[in-house]
Amino acid sequence: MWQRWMVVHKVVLKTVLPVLRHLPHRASVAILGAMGRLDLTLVPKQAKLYEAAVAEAAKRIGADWDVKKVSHALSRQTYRWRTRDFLLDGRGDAKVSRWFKVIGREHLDAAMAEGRGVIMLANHFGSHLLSSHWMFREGYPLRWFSEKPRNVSNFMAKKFQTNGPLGQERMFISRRSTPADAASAILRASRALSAGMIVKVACDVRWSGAHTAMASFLGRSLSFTKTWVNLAAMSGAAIMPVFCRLEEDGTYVLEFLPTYHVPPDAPRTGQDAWWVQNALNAIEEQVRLHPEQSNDYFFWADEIGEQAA
Amino acid sequence: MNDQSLQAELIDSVRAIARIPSDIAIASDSRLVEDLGIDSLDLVSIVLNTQERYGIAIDEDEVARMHSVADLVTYVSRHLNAAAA
Repeated sequence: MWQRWMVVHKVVLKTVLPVLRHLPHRASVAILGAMGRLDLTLVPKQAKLYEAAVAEAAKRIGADWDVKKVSHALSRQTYRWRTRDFLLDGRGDAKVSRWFKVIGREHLDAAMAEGRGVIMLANHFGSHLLSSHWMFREGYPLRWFSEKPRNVSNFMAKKFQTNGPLGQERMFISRRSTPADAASAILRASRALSAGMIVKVACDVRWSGAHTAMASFLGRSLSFTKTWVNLAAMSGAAIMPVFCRLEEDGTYVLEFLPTYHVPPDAPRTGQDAWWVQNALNAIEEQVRLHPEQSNDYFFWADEIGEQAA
Repeated sequence: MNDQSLQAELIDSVRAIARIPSDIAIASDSRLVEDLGIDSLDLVSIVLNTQERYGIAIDEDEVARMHSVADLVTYVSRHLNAAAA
């Protein structure tokens, strides 16, 4: 059912985005919020879907949320979340910079100063793509160690078109990669870190097969990738968790948390599952605090990697 | 170092890193992934270990083309010879 609504949202967004890009940013964000809220008013079935998803999440993590209130707030974020970073296309750096409230930049800059690279531990919470968008705008040397994203702004797409040994093009990975291809990608990411770059890895990617760990997330036991733990142990790079959420007034609150290091022997001594769980706990804490930013998680399909909790 | 000694060393190293039991034979034509069940992270460890041990840099693109033990031996041998020349 939710998948069907996702298609509807996509068609609606394709129609309105070209117009929204020409409006003042705060007005665009307000309109997107109103569109999401309107969906709930016009389509009672969708309202029920939101309330069921929020109630289920609250039950799973034992949160004392006002289900109706959170559902309404969540619906206001739906189109905004689906818009990703498209609203920022074609806007100047100075203007975009004003829409960000950055917390903990000192953690990022201190980690960069260590000179061993930084693993930006990302997730799918809130306006997660905007952290990368901001970093590119600010000139940080960022590479993604992930699957190639399908829908990003032209600005980001251009930033991904880098070639050469440390270029982005060859650092994208795929679920269909052979072990040899995956090894090449890991080595490239490791080399990028050695060169002092920032490598973005999402820690909440459900994965199957080798190099996964079972972990509890939002009350479910799921299989997650632990490749980032190996990369961190191998490189000695600082791990820096990052969260980004979009406020009602159109401000992107980008928060860099204090960094930490994974011990070099973590994979060998079986501590990797602990690090995976630790990273997921940090996301769960954000979900607890800002459930309205959890569109991705509350409607996760169950088919990938879930086991009985 | 001749190629046979190099091969023996690399086989030992592959066996240790990928924790391949001693009753499984590793030959020159053993395929790293299909025959020995080596996964991406073990492959990374083998590459890093080889780089450090022989003082050579292994190109990431070449890793994707190393299908067998023989491919690894050939690559290392070629680079050691080039360094010695």
